[in-house]
Amino acid sequence: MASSNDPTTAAMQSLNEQIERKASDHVQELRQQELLFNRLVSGIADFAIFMLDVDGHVLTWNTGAERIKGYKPAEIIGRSLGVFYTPEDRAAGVHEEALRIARETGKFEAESWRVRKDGTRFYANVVLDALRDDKGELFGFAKITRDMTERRAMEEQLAQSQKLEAIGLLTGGVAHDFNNLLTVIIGNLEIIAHKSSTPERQARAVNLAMQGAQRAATLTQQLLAFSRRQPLNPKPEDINKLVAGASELLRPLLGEMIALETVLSGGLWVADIDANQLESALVNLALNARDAMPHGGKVTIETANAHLDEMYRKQGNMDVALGQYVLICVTDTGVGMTKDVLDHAFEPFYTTKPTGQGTGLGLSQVYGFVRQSGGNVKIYTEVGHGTTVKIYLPRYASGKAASPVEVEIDVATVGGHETILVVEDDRDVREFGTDTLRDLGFNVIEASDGTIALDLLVRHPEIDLLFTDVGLPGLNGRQLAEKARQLRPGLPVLFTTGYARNAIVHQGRLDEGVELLTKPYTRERMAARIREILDAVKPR
Amino acid sequence: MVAPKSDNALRIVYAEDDEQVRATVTDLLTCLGVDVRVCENGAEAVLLCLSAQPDVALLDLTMPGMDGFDGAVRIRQNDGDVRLVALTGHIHANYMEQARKAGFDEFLGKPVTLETLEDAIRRWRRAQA
Repeated sequence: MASSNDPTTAAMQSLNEQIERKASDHVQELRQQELLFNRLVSGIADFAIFMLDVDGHVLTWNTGAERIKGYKPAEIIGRSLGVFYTPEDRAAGVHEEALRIARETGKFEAESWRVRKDGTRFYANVVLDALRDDKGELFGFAKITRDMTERRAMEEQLAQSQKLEAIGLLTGGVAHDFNNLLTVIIGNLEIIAHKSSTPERQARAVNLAMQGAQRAATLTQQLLAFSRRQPLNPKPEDINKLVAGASELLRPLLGEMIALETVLSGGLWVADIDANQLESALVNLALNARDAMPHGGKVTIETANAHLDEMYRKQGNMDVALGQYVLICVTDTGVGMTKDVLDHAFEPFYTTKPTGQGTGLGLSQVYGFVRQSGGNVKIYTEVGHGTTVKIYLPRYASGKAASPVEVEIDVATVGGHETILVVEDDRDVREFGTDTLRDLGFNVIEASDGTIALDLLVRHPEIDLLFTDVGLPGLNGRQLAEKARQLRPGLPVLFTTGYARNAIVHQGRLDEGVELLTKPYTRERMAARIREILDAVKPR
Repeated sequence: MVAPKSDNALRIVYAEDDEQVRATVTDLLTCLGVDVRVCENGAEAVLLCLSAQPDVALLDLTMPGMDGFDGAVRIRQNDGDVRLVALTGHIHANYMEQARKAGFDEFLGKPVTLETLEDAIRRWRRAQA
């Protein structure tokens, strides 16, 4: 047997001691780390960090959890996570659903209302992670909750004040523009009536008053476009043809210093869109492009087919429907927009143009109209280099061909002795309508409400067309039309309205087969529509 | 050269950038027997006031180039007596306050009618007398 003096034994002993010391140091270190880690987790006051067992019972509890949720460790350990949820969510099984998702996907994340011990609610950001051992066996969940109530309140307050600011800008802008236009209209009516006015001055005043009134009509139309409440008349349109036609209009608008190029894609899909509004949108974009290039430059209008997919939606376009679109890109080589300008670009009356030059309604019209049509608008811009506005128009779905070119109607020879029943409660508007129709050669019978109109329909079988306001007292225009058609099946009906959001228009679009003339209308537009409808029933 | 003033006619220099509003208000003032000199922004109004020596400078507030506020300050520097009148569609406390600070004596809101102009002209004549 070897004595303790044996050098080999001594070496072994020394080695053992060394190993023991190292192991002890290591354990010490691990304990130290665990202690630090526990202190870290338990000491964090801003986050509730705790563990749940596989069934969702609380296993650990830190300072943040106590602070945010109000429970002491002894009060909560062992209880189900359901106690943190609102009674509604608990009844709906939201907490069980959260566990299920975390179990199946590894993670669950949400922001919603939670309940403290005292019953008060707080807005929480919650992350739930599934915990698995080396063999992949689930042994519990880690839950991190953050109290977002204050931040949410601040965000809401900010959103509210931004909204109020935008409304203030809008109402201020509308008031200013209308005050100017009323000056023109009222002032010139007074000049017409004034005793000292010469015939020349009177003639000029008539002209100016009309111009002012027309500008007011354009302004209300632009506002309706932004609010997405204008009546749209979408038809299948060949966008290449439309862009080619519009570019002829745009050339003189852009001036000689700006080149215009159109790049029209072959095999372009048909879009479902209101052609007039799209032309207005292109004009508005061209005006912006022109003003962004005071020293000249180039405008390019391109068309293409586009597919908006999940990727596009994830890039901040969550409210856009997936699918096929016809894309129009309008690009300029102008000054571009800063981030701040871009953030406000679609707001009505927001303009960077010099005072008196821009209305601040151009991009608002584009945005409102395209969104109402089920499309999307995006701006890509670089300061000093230029801007591209991309308009996505919904692809036309069913088999109809693109609309034929509208035939110009010779308004001078409209009336063919047909009889028209005019129903309108506003006396002045009715008078204008009946006078104009008589002027155009029609026989006119008039009524101020639906009941009188039905009575007249029975007594006058010669009535060829019902022309009615939508917003009537008693029977509205739509109800009147229904009853009238029960009396006289196939009777053509032309509705008129100053507003889109009412019985006749669904989501701002006309019902299939409904004829609508929007106010304010001119003699020409009225004549053209009535002739069109009468000829469709009984060609002359 | 300073144009000689006729005995009775009130002389007004009027600045407005909106063409239709400018034509309308000019005609209204002419109907009321006022001698109107017209221009399109603040800078033109400053120059026109120097040559026309008006009793009243009637200025729109928001105009391209020099606006009505700056125009009023400059006109006042050149002429301590001229009556400075703002005529604007921005009927807003902020604008009124800003106009007061720029030295305007009076603030007229649009839409302006023959009657309000008639009353104003009566006031301006009294102030002139």
